[in-house]
Amino acid sequence: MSLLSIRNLQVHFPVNQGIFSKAHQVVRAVDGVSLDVEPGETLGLVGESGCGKSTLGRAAIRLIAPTAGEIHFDGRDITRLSSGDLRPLRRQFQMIFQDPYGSLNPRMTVEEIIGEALDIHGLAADASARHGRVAELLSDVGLDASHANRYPHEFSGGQRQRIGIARALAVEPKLIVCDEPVSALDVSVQAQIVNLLRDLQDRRGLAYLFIAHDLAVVEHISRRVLVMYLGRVVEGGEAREVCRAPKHPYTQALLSAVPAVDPATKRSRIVLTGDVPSPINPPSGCPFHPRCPVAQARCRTEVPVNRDIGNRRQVACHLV
Amino acid sequence: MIKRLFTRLLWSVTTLMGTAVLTFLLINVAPGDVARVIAGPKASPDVIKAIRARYHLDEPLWKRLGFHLGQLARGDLGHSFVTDQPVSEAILSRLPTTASLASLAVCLWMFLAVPLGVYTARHQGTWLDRSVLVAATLTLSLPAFWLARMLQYWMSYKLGWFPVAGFRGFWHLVLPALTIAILAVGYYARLIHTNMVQVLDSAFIRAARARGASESAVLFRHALPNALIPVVTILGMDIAFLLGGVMFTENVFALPGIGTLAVQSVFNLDVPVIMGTVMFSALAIVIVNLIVDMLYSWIDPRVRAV
Amino acid sequence: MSTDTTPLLAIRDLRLDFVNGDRPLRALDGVSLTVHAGETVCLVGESGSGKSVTALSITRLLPSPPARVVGGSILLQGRDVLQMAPRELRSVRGGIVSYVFQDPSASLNPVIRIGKQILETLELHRPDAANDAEVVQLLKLVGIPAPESRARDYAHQLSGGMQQRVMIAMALASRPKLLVADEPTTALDVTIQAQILDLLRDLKQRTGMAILLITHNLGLVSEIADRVAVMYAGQIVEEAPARELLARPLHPYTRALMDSVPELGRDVTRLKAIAGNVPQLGAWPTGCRFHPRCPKAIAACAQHNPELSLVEPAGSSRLVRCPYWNS
Repeated sequence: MSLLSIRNLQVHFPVNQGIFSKAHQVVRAVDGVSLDVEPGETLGLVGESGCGKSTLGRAAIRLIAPTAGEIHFDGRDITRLSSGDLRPLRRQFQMIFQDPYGSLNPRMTVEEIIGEALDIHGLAADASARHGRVAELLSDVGLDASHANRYPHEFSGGQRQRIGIARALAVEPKLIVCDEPVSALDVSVQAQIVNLLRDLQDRRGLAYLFIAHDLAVVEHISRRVLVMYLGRVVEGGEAREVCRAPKHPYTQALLSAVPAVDPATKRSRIVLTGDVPSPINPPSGCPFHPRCPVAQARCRTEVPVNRDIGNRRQVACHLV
Repeated sequence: MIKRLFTRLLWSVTTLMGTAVLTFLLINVAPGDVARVIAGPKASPDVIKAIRARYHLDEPLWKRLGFHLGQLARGDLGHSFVTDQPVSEAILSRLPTTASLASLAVCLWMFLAVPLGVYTARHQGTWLDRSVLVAATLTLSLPAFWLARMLQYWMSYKLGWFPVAGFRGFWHLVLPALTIAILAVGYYARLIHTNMVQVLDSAFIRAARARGASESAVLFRHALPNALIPVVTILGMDIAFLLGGVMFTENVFALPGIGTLAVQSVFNLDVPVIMGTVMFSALAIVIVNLIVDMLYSWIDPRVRAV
Repeated sequence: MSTDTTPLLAIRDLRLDFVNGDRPLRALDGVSLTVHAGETVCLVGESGSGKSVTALSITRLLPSPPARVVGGSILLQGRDVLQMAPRELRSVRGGIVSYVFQDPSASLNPVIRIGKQILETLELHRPDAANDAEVVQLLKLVGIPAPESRARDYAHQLSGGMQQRVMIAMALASRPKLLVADEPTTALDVTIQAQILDLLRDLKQRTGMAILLITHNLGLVSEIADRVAVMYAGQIVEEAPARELLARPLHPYTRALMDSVPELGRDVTRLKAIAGNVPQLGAWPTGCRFHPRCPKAIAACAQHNPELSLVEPAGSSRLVRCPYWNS
């Protein structure tokens, strides 16, 4: 059974509009996405800015209210749980953010930050138990127990992300939604955090929903990956397979656009024209057709269904 | 845009209604028998009774409130208890004085504050920057009536540069306007300073410098318009406040403005005039706010888009 | 007086401090870099390495204080930028040297129409061409559709990619000899990044200008660079033709950096992370700046900071700041 199972999720935001323009315009941030995260596995979610990946990640753990669809966590429907009913469940799914500094209270010491998470869910019997647990968590994420009394500004970006991870781990979650956890970090530090996340997964059987725009990082850390465009999943499958043999023209272009460090692996580049269209008025038919190099008449009118093409792959394209 | 204006108008009306109800209640729970004041100390009980009847002072509070609001809706502010002049007329006849005083004061302080703010932002930490900071703090804590009296004493009485009091032309306005301007200039200089420092630190300023733009183009074409955008709101509030009457300054210089009218009416317990001036202040604030709001969409293209 | 042999830009032993209170913090410590006409040079480094400081120093764009040049020279077409009077400096900025910055949305003035901002650059450096037709021409050059109407837009009405195109149009207005692009694609999506890189390459071919590209992304090096210099903690640690450096990095830092980046389609179970943190300004280690994080460091590395010296592996000549590169 999947740990997290999402069916046909939609998240729409209303747009404030003038009195004479079309009423009830909405941003279709997430427009019918289904996904499953198995216990202990990493599902990668890639796409460019505005594709809805972060909104999806937040809606998946009910930080944003979904408009339609279903979210099951550990077999339980959490789509419409009240915030009171949701609170005891929250310790099972945590989140880490892109900007570790912005998500840490600058006036609290590291011990207070991590201890607070323990207190909220009543996970420390007394002060000394709490102290010991914080020290344990810090060493789990590669920080020194002596760091407990320092404030977030005394740490580097990579260390702050470790603090954020320790806070998420404090409540022993089953799932962590990682929203661009390494994209604000220095290149040489990114690898440390990626490795740390993998080690923690091995040791604790954590599942990750790993959201990032960097395909190479996602390919590296995920077993399976979903590619999003304009609020929809256009392609999915085993990370390695998707990256080696992309089927959807968007995935192909996205992969070809990633600059390779090694000149030997030079890819032939598909340069897309134009910008990502607005999710307020997404194009008719296939949302990718205005930028698609191989679009046909049918693509302009008919929305492609996300089909299973075997080998655990799914593609939403008429031409595959 | 239209919808925005519409919601803004709706809010304005609500604000005015609230002000009307609140002032009415405050005045009517305050101690002091209005009828006795109108009638004078030696009036007979019959006269007081007649006055009560005339101004509906016998009716229950809620009835009088309804009557009062109905009057307001028709634009009728009632008549002064003391002079029997229509209150709206009394206010309108004094508006030109107050408005000229306000405009002159605003021009004076902005004329000083903009260069000071820009200069001190460009030359942070210099002696001028620090003096402006000290002066701003000082002037902010100066009592208005004291400053007005000092200026009056030295510049009019001792030096004879300006008329002492009264209103018979432009020169009578200079000293009162100067009083108001001195009280405001430090605050505005610091406000512009802070905004300028922030804007000068932004990427588009660096980009402008990288294109070879001269220092004056950087300061006045690129930075200042951006730094002044937030000032507009506060300036609007202050202008509205000034239009509502500058109590101390107008009184010290005996200017026949709305401020003196308001003070007199309080001394005379002239209830319709008190309420009228309060309503007028509220109206000024509401209208200026509306104008500022519309102005924003003109000066800031980012607001226009929303 | 510039001849064919005079490099377009020659930075020699540049040392620059940030004065913070009375304690100066060294940000650049003997940086030397040459860019020849028509060449594309990449300056690669992580945050705090001094790559952007170097880029901004070329036309003295760092505010002083706190920045203070304490040694070295910057020769632009043979003229020393550090000796220039403000007027001459302004004609160089946006004239001979143009800049494109990381965040295009913040680099455009929000209350001035973009056409007018381009016009301003033309007025400053090519007054005879300062007209609307030239503005439209420039917007067309950088591939902006419907340039006539776009010129009347404000920055917030354009997408990030379009904004960066406008910045590039503005930079090209003066027909510069050197375009300094400071992380020009970092804030953009990967498909838009590819568009901008293609545009830069294409413009370089058409105009013959040199490009100094500042980036933390080694991937861009193989895409665009002729030559590459790697910076770490205020110093250049390695410099080489791009192809050679990527094929065979010599400095342990360059090697470690390349190993730590995950590459698409490469089967690695575990990334080779560099231990420790990027050293902060003012907290640089003694000896070799990289030695606390270097997997190959020996005791001597902590003692003295090696020079950037010419070495000759397999017939080529390379500059590397590590005496043990061969071990």
